[in-house]
Amino acid sequence: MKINHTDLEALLKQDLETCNKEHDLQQIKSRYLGKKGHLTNLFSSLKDIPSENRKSYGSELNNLKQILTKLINSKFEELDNNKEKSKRLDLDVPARHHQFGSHHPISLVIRRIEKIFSGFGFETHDGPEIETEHYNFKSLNIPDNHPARDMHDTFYFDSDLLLRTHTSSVQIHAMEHMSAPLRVLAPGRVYRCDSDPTHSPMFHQIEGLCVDTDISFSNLKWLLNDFIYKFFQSKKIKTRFRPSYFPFTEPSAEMDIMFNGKWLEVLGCGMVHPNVLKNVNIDPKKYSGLAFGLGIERFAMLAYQIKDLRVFFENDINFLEQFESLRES
Amino acid sequence: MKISKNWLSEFITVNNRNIEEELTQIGLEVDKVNKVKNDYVIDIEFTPNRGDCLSALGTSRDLAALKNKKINLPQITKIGCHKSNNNFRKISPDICPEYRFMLLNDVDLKVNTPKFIKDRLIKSDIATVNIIVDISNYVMMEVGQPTHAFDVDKINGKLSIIKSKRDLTFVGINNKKYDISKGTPVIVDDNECVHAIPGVIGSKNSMVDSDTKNILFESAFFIPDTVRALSTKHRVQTDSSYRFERGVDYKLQEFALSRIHFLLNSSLTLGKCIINKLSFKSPHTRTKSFKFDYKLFKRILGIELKLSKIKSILSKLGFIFKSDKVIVPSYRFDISTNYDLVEEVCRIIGYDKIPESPLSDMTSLVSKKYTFYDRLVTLGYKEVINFTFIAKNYSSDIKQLKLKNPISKDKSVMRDSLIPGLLKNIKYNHNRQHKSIQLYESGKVYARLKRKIHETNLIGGVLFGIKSGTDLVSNQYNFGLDDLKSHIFSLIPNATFNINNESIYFDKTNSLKIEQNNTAIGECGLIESSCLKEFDIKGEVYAFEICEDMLSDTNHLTYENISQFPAVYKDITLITNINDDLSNIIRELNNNSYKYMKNIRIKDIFINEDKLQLNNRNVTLEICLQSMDSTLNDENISKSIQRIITDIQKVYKLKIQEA
Repeated sequence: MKINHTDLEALLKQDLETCNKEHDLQQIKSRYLGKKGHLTNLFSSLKDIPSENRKSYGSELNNLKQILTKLINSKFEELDNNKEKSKRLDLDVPARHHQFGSHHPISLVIRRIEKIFSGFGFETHDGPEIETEHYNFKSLNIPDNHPARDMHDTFYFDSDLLLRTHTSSVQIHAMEHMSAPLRVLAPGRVYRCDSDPTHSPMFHQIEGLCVDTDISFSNLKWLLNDFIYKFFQSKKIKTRFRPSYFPFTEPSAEMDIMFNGKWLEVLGCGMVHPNVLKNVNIDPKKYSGLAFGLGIERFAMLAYQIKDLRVFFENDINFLEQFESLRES
Repeated sequence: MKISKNWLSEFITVNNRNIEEELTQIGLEVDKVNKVKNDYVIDIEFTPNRGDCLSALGTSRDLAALKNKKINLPQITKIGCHKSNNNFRKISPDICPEYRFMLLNDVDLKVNTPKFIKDRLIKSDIATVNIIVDISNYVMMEVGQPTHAFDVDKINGKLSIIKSKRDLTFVGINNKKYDISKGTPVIVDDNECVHAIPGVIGSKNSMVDSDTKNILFESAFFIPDTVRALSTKHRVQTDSSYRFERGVDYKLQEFALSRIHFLLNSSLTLGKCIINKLSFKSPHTRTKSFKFDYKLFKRILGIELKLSKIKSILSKLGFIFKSDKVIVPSYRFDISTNYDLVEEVCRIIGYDKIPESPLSDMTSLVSKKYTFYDRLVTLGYKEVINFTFIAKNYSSDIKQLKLKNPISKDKSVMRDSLIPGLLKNIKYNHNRQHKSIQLYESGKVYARLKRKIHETNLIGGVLFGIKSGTDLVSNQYNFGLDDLKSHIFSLIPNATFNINNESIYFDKTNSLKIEQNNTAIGECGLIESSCLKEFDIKGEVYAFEICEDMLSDTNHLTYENISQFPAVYKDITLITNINDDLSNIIRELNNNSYKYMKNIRIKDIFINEDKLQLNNRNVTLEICLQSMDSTLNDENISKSIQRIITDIQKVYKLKIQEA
């Protein structure tokens, strides 16, 4: 069938009218513009046209090709748009499950505290848990037969060895290995031969030590107040310092925070006792130091409102997975 | 120590409202205040350094310095005192440098203790016994001097306070039997009958009872260290030993006896009485003094305090200034340096009055990296923290660190692996309906090797049950070695695996050694079934344990140029036996630098179970080829592949499955 070139545009429009699939449109495209399509046929009949009309007819065909191409392309675009509009996600699809693990709340609190103190220039150190009498007591100014030993129910091994009762022993290791000035933070497990609902035979402490030529009690107060504000993310929290006793600090203090209308003891601190400095060959006439020690479990209980100390070491998944969303960095 | 507020009020005016705050400010922590009828019972917790406060007088004396008041001393009978060693054969000054006693004759013990004394003792949780014991206890609570009354008629000859010459035994007033070994300080009579452990406890034999007629009332200063050692040795702590080991005022003995006499005198008819004195030179009763250092106050506190203010506070606390020296009161055993004086001044001023000042030079440090733990959490592991002492280890006995005084048998040995704790956690949670258990712990293990203690930081993880607990049933599958390996590679990208020759907790044939840079750093695989039985776990436990201290950083890396030309992937299939160490073969092939070969890896393992030759498996390897400077043509590709195939056949004697 011979199709007249003047009808071609109308014919295509008719075809496009009824086409609503990309596949059909492809076929229309090849029917009109393809290698054996109508337009190609017309171009190949160009040679039969008398030469005086050939030029004008040729330019008419070229115009027509442009028109047809445009019509088809715009139909392609139209179909594309329609497709996008009709696409519908099932928004109720259940989330694909990815089970994250969780950090233990004790670890989260240690990290939180480390991060705050690293801002004050404190570097984290590790120390042994199995200690000698020397490191755990004597070098910290706690001699044999001292009533202060009543404060420490100690686990012993067969000889001079014991499980450290506090992280304060790391103070000695740090001062033996580093020279003043120094700022050291030592988190870790500590042990007391004591087990009841409010005491665990193993628990965690963080010890802090800062030795320099001009460290004073007013620095200690500033540092620990600022720490508490940062830890609890509130400057409104009320704190107080009151006299206490640790053989390795003088003066010694205990820090309380106001919690639910009551003073709650949160940490022990003080100025490093000159005997402790002398024990590690630091001249107390030249240097002074501040030290503090706090119980991680106490801070974790406050931070996450945990009531029972024992849950920390039961490792119940129902407890652990509650910390899945928490990521301290 | 519990004490009646009305009692304190006899020494100093006490305000109900702020007594708690005042005591706390000066370091005497108030545990509780309970209202009892017209009185309050104040429960004070004393730190071990404040032996001087363990009485109504001591506490009031400290409060008086804060309130800038003077205290009223209790009434006493003025009785004479003379040196006399009647009744005593020998007193060793190493045990007791100050001894006072008075003799009371023809005492009627049927007389009741005055009601106010009974009431106050009850408020202090002290049982009432008879008038003599009650007044002895009353004076101890009132002024801080423990005293003891002996029934003179039960003493054979004279008393001695000496180190025991032989092993002896005696029964204390608490009805408990004590063994006194040779050389232990003791109070004995001429027949070597024990009448007391000095400063700790008297004997049942010579205690005052209803038949007692004649009494020797002891008021002494025993050396703190000696009493502490005796109390520890005999495992007995009494109100008396508690005070002596913390230090009792060595000038208080006569005053205490005079007070006892005064109180007894109102109920009993006492004859003429005198205090007998035995006093010896001792470093423990020497007046302490040292050079005063005003400058230290500013250095330690960070604020300037006027010298006059410091001196005034210290004077109120009983310190005396004499030229450049400061003299310490006889009741302050805790003061020996200027640092101690700084605390004294500071607590009277109030810790809260000291201003704050920031630390200087605050260089912020980059905090420790926790990438490893964060990755474990991303991989789905929940962190646990277990006790480091466990019931038993499975390793040889020599290395074991056993506690001498464990809390219980199941917490008696220091762990040598994290696995036992993790298995306990699996059991605990499996019992609570958890079907998918994925846990890790990071912590120390302990060993004694050649008398040296080793503490090693390990990271251990366990996989148990279904991989994902809440997915659709059709998607559920159990944890396997592939999961474990994928986790290890996520944690340690350059990890390699090797045969596990020896293991304590892992099943040797079904576990692998984890290596990094050719060094063994841990193991992974199935836990030994006998070990699972121990923890009553049914099912397989996949686990890993890595030595954290041995992990090396993989940070040093050199960039490799990226090829602009396409890579070609070719698969070849080997017919192998499960005993062929394929991982090692692949590692070696990867190390051989075949031309164009970028990587070779196991793509698939197929075991034809129909043939029941379970140990035979077909392993498909994927070989990746790529050139830096051209697109590879078929000839290049087949030559390279052929070289690899030849090596596999000749060197490793493996068959290639024809395509």
